[in-house]
This record gives sequence, structure tokens and C-alpha cells, in this order.
Amino acid sequence: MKNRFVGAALAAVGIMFVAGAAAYGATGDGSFSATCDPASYGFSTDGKTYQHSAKGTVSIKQKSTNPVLTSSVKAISQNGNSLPVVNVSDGQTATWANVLPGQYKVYARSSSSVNCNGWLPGNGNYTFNYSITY
Amino acid sequence: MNRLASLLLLSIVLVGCASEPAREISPTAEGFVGFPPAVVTERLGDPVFFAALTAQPPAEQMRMAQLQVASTLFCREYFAAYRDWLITGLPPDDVTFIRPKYPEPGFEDFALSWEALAEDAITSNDPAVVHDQLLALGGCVDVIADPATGPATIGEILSGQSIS
Repeated sequence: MKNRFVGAALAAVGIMFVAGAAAYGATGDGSFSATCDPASYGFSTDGKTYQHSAKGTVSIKQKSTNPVLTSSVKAISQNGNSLPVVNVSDGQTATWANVLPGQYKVYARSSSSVNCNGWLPGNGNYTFNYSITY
Repeated sequence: MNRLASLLLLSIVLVGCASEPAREISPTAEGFVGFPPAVVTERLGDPVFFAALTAQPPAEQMRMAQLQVASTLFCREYFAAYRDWLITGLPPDDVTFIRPKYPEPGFEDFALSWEALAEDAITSNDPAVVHDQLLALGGCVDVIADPATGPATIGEILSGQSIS
């Protein structure tokens, strides 16, 4: 038990170090192409990993979209646990409180079927620009 | 001729390095050795999780699958420890994050961080801290508490939305 406690203490020191390196409340930006046809296609991600180092709030802001639409956004941790889907429009922010530490990726797709493809077949894709605070 | 052969060899090596080979993600895969097969099968059979898994780059899929299985086991043990604490009034022993025989890179860091969180919560001597940990997003909240008794998640049970 004592050795276990020492091990945990060392691990905690490691977490503190990571937290200091990653700066709790750090921010990031990204952009990727996502589907305008959520009935047929799943969520997309840019694959960027964000290290959420201490239990707390994670927020994702939809900075802009092209074409403009409302997105469904979520984040998935490295063990596959998913934060609940939130719908956001340009300028709006999805916020999750009480989020466990982990490495999260941002996922998005259109919240409803939208023709982003003009006269071309299918609904196509749109560009999702976001910022994240973790 | 030798130069041509060298260039050919180099290009083969570069192509080999650039493309990540797909890993086998099935219950009998080597990466799951050391885990209870039933839980491996359960998690890989969850369509929501499997969709998230297959959306990852192939090189990351086994790590995610290992962590999903291990964290599911961890959450169930942590939840059982919490319930025992409420019944007995005695803080539980440490909750262990089970390691597979062949852990992927990054597995150990994740395991240690979750063990440390549980240890901190238990040593707080306050069951409410564990309760809060179990309801944290991205953690145990969406884990089915006991698939043998029903689909209720730990979060649903703790929130009083389901009786299990």
C-alpha cells in the first residue's frame, strides 16, 4: 500500500509536469472538411490531439463555416469515450464541464442535411473552422 | 547499377515507413491478451465505440481499443468500490487499471493518470469525491455498470435514472 502510494505520488508529479507543459486552459485552432449529409456519413476530424491534463472544462467554438451552417460537434478521448454531441452555429461555443483528463480530438458534421454541393450530386462537404480551450 | 539498386531499396524503405500497416482489431488479437475475453468482445461489439475506433488512424486503433477495454474494467471496479464504501463505511483499497500483456505506447501513461485520480479521490476520505469522478465526462459515466443485469450506465445509476 505504501509503495503503491509512492507510485501514485510520482504519477501525480508527472501529471503536474504535463499540466504545466500543456498549460491548463490552453487553446488550439483547427480546420477540416466535414459532411453536409449526416444521414449518410459520420463525423470527421482533423486528427489533432489536445491534451486535457486536469479534470475540468473543455470548450469548442465554431469560428466559421463554409458554407455557413450549424454543426454537431463532440470530442472523443484516446480511450474512445465521447463527450455528448452539441449543436453550434458560427460564433457559438459548446462547453463540457467536469471532463476527465485525456487526449481528445475534435469531431464535427452538419447538424442536418444541407446541400453544400450546388448542382453537383450529393450534399457534399463544408469547411469547419474551430478553436478549442482545454 | 548498384546506385539504381540502392535507390530502389531506399524507395521501398520509405514507402514502408510512410504507410502504417492495418492492425488486426478482433477479440483474438495479440493486443488483447491479458484482458477478459468477454469484455473485449463486449466493447468491440458496441457499434458506437467501434465507429469511433475505426475512424482513428490504423496505428492508433489498438491503443484506443486496449484503453477502452481496460477503462471499462477499471470503471466497473471503481464503481463497485464506491458502493462498498457506502455500505461498509470503509474506504476501498486501490483500484487497479489492468494492463494487457502487450500494451501499446501511451497505454501506461493513461493507466497511471487514471489510477492517480482514483487514489486521490479515495484518499480524500470522502465518497462524494469518488461519486464526482464517476460522473465526469469522458470517463466512467457512460460505462454499462454490469452487462449481465442490464444496459444501465454508471451515470444513469448514480443519477437515479435507473435501478440496477
